Amino acid sequence: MKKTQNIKIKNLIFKNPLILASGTFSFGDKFISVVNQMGGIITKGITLQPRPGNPMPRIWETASGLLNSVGLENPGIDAFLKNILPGLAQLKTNLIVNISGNQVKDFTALAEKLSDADIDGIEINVSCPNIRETDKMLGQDPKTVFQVVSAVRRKTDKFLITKLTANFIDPLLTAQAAKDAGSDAVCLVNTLYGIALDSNTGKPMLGGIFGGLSGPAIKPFALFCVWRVASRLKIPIVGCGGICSADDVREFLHAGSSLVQIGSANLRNPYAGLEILHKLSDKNFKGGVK
Amino acid sequence: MKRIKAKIVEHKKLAPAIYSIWLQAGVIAGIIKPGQFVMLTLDECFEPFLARPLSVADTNRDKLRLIYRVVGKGTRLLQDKKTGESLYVLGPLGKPVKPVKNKKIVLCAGGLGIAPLLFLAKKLSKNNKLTLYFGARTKRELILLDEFMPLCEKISLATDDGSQGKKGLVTDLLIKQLIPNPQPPTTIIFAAGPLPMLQKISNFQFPISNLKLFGFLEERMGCGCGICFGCGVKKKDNGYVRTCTDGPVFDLNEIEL
Repeated sequence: MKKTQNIKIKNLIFKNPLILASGTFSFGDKFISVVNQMGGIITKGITLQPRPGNPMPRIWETASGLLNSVGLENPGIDAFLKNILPGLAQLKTNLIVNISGNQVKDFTALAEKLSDADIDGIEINVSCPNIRETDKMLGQDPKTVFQVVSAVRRKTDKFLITKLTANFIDPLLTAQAAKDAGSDAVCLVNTLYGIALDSNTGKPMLGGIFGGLSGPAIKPFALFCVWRVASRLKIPIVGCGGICSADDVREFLHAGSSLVQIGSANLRNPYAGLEILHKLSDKNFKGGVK
Repeated sequence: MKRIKAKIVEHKKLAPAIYSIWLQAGVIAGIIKPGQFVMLTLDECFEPFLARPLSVADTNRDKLRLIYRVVGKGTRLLQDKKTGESLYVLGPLGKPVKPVKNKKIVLCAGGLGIAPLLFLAKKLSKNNKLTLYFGARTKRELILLDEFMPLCEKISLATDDGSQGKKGLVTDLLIKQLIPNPQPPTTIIFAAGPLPMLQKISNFQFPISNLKLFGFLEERMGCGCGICFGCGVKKKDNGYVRTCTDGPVFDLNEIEL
């Protein structure tokens, strides 16, 4: 295997551009040999209070992808810090904790609790389609994105990625807001809203009624979002959306990503990240849309 | 846990839309135990996108036997695979059934639930007494009976159309036959089949002391290996456990169906 080049963003060094996406690789506590060879791992989303998650079914396969309505099942920040994080201390890669909430003060509290934790960064999730407590995603409003990211930035100097949505909002606007608020990078894009119905009864197939669409089905759209923001705004971008192969990674790097996240592909094959890494070589790679 | 490319060594039809497939599955076949399952992916293209969970019906050294019904896109493509072609197998997945000795074992299968019970029966028959209750839609779907014959003391059959055995549900047969003949206090029921069957067995008050009740759950899965949190099953006390890593075989007294 040819060695991939280190990527440095702010003070953080990634040994390759591949990051395991939040919600698709538990907390980094499984398949450690895969995790350790990646550029980073982003934990399952953590909230202030424990969340049981949405009713079943939570996964529905669609054409070239899937809908999920897991609903941020997690034990809450205190249990995460006490019971899960100590087990991750030996990871030989960047450990980034994904945080999620319903309002700005949730993020303030989460950032405060994580500010002294032994982690390499925080991913601010303002784009989960499976939070039902609020009518809108926080990430659908640039002002709210600015408030959330500013609140986290005030509490920590850790590396920050803001994971953005493109559901009914131009991510260029929210990426600008995240940048202005001090985010070190933005991730484009989280899942797209989706619903699946029984063709006979009209009944929703997901227990949570609607969910987030991911997988190769959204790749061209995600690539467009990366290209749109990269060509207009100077901020490191983590590309995400249907990446399943080394060629997919190259396309996202060409479009302007510095790093990429592998998500749904892990569900199909938990060794996908490793297989992509083996096929990826940065030799002669120049990047940029030709 | 491994993910390997496994060659098909035998692929044959057992009944309309029901197939048996033997795979050369090396180390996975060697270590997998009853109750565990594998995830199958067909090839390098991403449609269908997700792998398919399948329970194991039998093993023979480095070979693994799976039995499936053609129900959708994934199984339709699987049906077209020929001997000599390969599939990707991820496994072993899930928790094995704990081995037991000197117990009265009652196996209750509905439809394709019979497949994982064959693997279990082969392991348990040496040290336990086995009875099988098996229900299917029709006579032709009462598969694998010749393989169960040498393993079980008694086999009771039911079909929806009455073409073989008792007409009706296998659960009715089980409930009826277990009531008038209370078993010794070490009876274990292993049930595998559709959800309504498991629900009926789980909700029935069997008048037998010290009865253990285990169900093989089928749940739509994302990853099959505990990383996506997609296949939760509700615990009776609180919260969810995962079908893929905490099951797929559960004590039916501990979960809500």
